[in-house]
Amino acid sequence: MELDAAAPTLAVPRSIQGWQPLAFRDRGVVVPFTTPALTGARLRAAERGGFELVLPEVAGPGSVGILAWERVGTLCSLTLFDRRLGARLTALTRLTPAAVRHAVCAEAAEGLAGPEAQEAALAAREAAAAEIEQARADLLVEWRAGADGAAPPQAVLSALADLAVLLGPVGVGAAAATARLPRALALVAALPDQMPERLRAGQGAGAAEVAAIVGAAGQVSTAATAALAAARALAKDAAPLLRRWTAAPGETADAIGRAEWLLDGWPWLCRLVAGADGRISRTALLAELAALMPPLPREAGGSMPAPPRPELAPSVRDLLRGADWRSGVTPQDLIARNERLLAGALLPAG
Amino acid sequence: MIQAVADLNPLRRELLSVGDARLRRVVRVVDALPERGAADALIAPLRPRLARLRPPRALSLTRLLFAPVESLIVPAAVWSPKSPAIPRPLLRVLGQDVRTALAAEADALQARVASATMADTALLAECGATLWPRAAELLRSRPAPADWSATTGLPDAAHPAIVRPLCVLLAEGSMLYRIATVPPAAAMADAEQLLRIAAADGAPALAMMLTLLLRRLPRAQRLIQLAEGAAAARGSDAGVVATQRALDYLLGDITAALPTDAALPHAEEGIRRAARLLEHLQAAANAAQRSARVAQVRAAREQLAEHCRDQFTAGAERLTAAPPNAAAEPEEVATLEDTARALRRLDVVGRRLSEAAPYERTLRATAARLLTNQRLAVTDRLRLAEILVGPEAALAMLPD
Repeated sequence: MELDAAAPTLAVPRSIQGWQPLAFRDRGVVVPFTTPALTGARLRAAERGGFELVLPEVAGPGSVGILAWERVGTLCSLTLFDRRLGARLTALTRLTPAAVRHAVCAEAAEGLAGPEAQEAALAAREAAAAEIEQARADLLVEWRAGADGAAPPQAVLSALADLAVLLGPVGVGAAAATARLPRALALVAALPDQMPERLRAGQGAGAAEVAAIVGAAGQVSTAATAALAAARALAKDAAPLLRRWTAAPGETADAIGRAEWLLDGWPWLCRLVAGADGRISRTALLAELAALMPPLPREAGGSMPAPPRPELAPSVRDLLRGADWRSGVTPQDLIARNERLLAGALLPAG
Repeated sequence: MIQAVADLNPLRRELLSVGDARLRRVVRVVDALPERGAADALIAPLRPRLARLRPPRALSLTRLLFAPVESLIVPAAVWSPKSPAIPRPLLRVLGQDVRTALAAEADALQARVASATMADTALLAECGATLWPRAAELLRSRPAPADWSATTGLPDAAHPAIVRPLCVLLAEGSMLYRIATVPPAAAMADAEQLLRIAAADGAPALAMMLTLLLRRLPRAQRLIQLAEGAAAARGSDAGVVATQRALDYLLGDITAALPTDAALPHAEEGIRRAARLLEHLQAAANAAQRSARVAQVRAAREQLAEHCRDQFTAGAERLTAAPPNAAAEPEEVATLEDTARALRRLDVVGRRLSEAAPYERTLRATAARLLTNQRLAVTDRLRLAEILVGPEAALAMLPD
């Protein structure tokens, strides 16, 4: 009996070459699964109901594979953490980066992704609660200023509390630089400088991938900076924000959450770059990074320069699956790496 | 004194049951004491466990001197005059010789590395860049030290035969020290240069250099070609002689340079490198249709397979042989997880060397024992079992 599968049996997901999503929701939300075969996978709502995975590179360079979530067991053997996380995710009614993050935090806090992720999840939950409380207090001050100090009715308090959940990670007022999303943005903006010398150095092989990754990080940083500024502008005056929220809560939530969609997956990618395992070659790592960069959908108003996607040598693919015994990197090592990345992504600025 | 040591018995008993992480901290404290005395007696019963834990070794001048050729150092008992290796007793006597010759320069280097360990690789490389070429130059020109025979058990005549090739390697210490850390293409370019330099000195230096490179770099066949080519370019057959010596030595006892009582991650790496070397040598021997070499490789493979099984079994036992009395500390759990992952890496190598069934049985038995270990939190037990046997099997084995 084989104890676990180093090389998963592919369930042949529906694959698409040269795919560019129209909207963020088509792109899906990056989920920090710990199962190596799901590294960089995104989850999205399926048109026919339920959820499906968007798997980068599953059918070769530049492709994505679409696989119904309920069939994931035919692709690979999920880690215990991913099994429980999957159950939480598929119970969500609205799939957003914030909702996924909340589910990841809740599951990681249980400990199955390891002590580092557990500690990060507990700290992240505490930090998130403080950010929300700060945003709620700021919004209340704004509302009172517009209402000549009158006491807010219960409905207003309730709406402000909902808005604070959205605005907490954006960071309003004094938290504009210290909240989670501005810190994540700083991490992405610093990616070119944080890239280890062995990745950055040299021309020739890999130089185009490095340029594409650096270019994409710059593009995402610019767009996210604008999105954060727009969200903060909405919060400047509580009364119109409340009216907008009451009239169109979904649209308002989308406007405030745009930066989170833009930055989705990038803190995780930054951790992958910064903590690159020395046993994984430059070629393999650059190939992995290029594969895992979330594409910018057309609704984001631009197109990200697609990194060049050379056909990977079988030895490089084996290395990335933990199937090359010579490298000393096993699937269990990749799971441990993914757990570290998960922990890092929960606390984007460490 | 007896009374003082007896007074320490309760503390000693307590130390016997502490986790690995706390034990490492205790050793660090003891190491830092100006007068160890009773503290040494306190940790004496823990020595075997300490050897296994392999705390970072302090960086002395002698360790710095021999760092680039560390994998060539062997116990005196297994050394022979034709082996491309360095008998361990030489270290002290040559280290002292260099210290004497360098005088104030040596004191300055010793002061720089005083509180460092072998894990401080940047400092080691920096200080080594000064020491290695200077030491090579000095040792090459000096006669055997007065205590040479008494310390090494070798005649004075053996001094130049060992020291001369050693100096060829030490002179290139910086390149040798970094060769395993640079990208493969750069490493092979460095290796070619190193082999050319060694070939210029003759078969003993070339055999040492080739042995060291074969242990560190994966492309054995290419290294052998480079060694033979470098010597042939000088019109010498030293390449063939050196290759013969290097391979006879490496295949004669493939496990000679492997640690036997090290922490599993360290042991695993050595076994994996040796298995990789054998795979390359087997391919080379098959291609050259050299039946004697093929048989030699096969014998070495069997020897390595046995060593691998022994290390695997010992590693699995360590996973379940934690001290019984206390709840596991987080650091201890982290160490257990690291060991479990190393066990899986060793499992992968072991299955290439011999049949899989014993490995599978041991993994399952170890996971089963861990799943009932009350010292560990349920989540920790599950994670350890998952690392060892995968998620399905871990869930299936979970007691009701």
